[in-house]
Amino acid sequence: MPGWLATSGGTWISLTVLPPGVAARAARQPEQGDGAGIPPGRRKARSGRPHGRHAASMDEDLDKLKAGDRQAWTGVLRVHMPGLVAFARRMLRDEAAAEDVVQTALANVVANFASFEGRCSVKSWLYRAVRNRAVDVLRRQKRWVIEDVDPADDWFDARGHWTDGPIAWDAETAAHTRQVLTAVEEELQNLSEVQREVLLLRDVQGLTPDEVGRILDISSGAVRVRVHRARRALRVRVDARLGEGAR
Amino acid sequence: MMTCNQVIRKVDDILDGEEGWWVRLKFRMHLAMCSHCRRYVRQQRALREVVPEVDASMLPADYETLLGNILDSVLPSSDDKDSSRP
Repeated sequence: MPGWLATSGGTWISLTVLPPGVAARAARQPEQGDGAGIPPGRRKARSGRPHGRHAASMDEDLDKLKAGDRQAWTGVLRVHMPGLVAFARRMLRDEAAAEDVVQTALANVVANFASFEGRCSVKSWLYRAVRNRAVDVLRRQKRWVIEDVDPADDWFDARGHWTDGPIAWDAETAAHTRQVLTAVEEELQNLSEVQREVLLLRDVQGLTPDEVGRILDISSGAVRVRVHRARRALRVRVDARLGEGAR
Repeated sequence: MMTCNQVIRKVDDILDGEEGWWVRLKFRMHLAMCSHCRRYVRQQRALREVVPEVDASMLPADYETLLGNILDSVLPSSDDKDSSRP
């Protein structure tokens, strides 16, 4: 059971000791909650507004990127390409097509970066370019399915109570956690494209709702709604795999 | 009192810390009485912890080539600048 320590500044510090591997990803993790699943405070934004010397350095970097500085671009692409390739592969489910999409999209970004107005982060801009190119490919292949059904609509009776209750499974042991992870990785691929892209951007790549909204051209509120639906859709699929015969 | 339907639609906002104390209190009160929703919240927390563990980085085998292709297609390398091509 995770513990929490309140600080005078109103923030909370988790006393949970994270196992190796999880700790390495802690920066991308949502806050842990208490035993009832309720977090003590607001989730921290993953990218804040830069200030001071950091901001000046970023402006300098932007200038270099706009000027087509090859070394600056190499640095940026080295940081973001692994994530962009992973995103494109999961969107397209085709390794070669994904690399082609990343290459075309990024070359286009680099060539036209002088028009970048700085309304979003460079990272969001790169993801937006790759996402739009991937959607073009999916549309051409008639695989772009706009299906955003909320499975929870069928879970409750007219009074809002569970009809059956959630299927029993738990992820409290390491073996179960591996099972859940395997199920999640496989079932992510079976979600509709609209639900998959929002989960990949928000939960896997760890972008904020604002960043995802800029990438998808929707409000951050709409991002939250889509993410919640997508998580429930993923959950239904994971439930079906992990909870067979367990109800 | 929140219904189960309202509770599960609030879970993610609550876990994200997006809701105020009143909603969190009603949520807690419901959980205290509803084993189905307690199980749902427990599983949802587990899922939310596992999804970011999905491999978020993939490097193509010819990563350096891909990187070079992107840059070569739009930016001249220093070698290109120096060399005198016909």
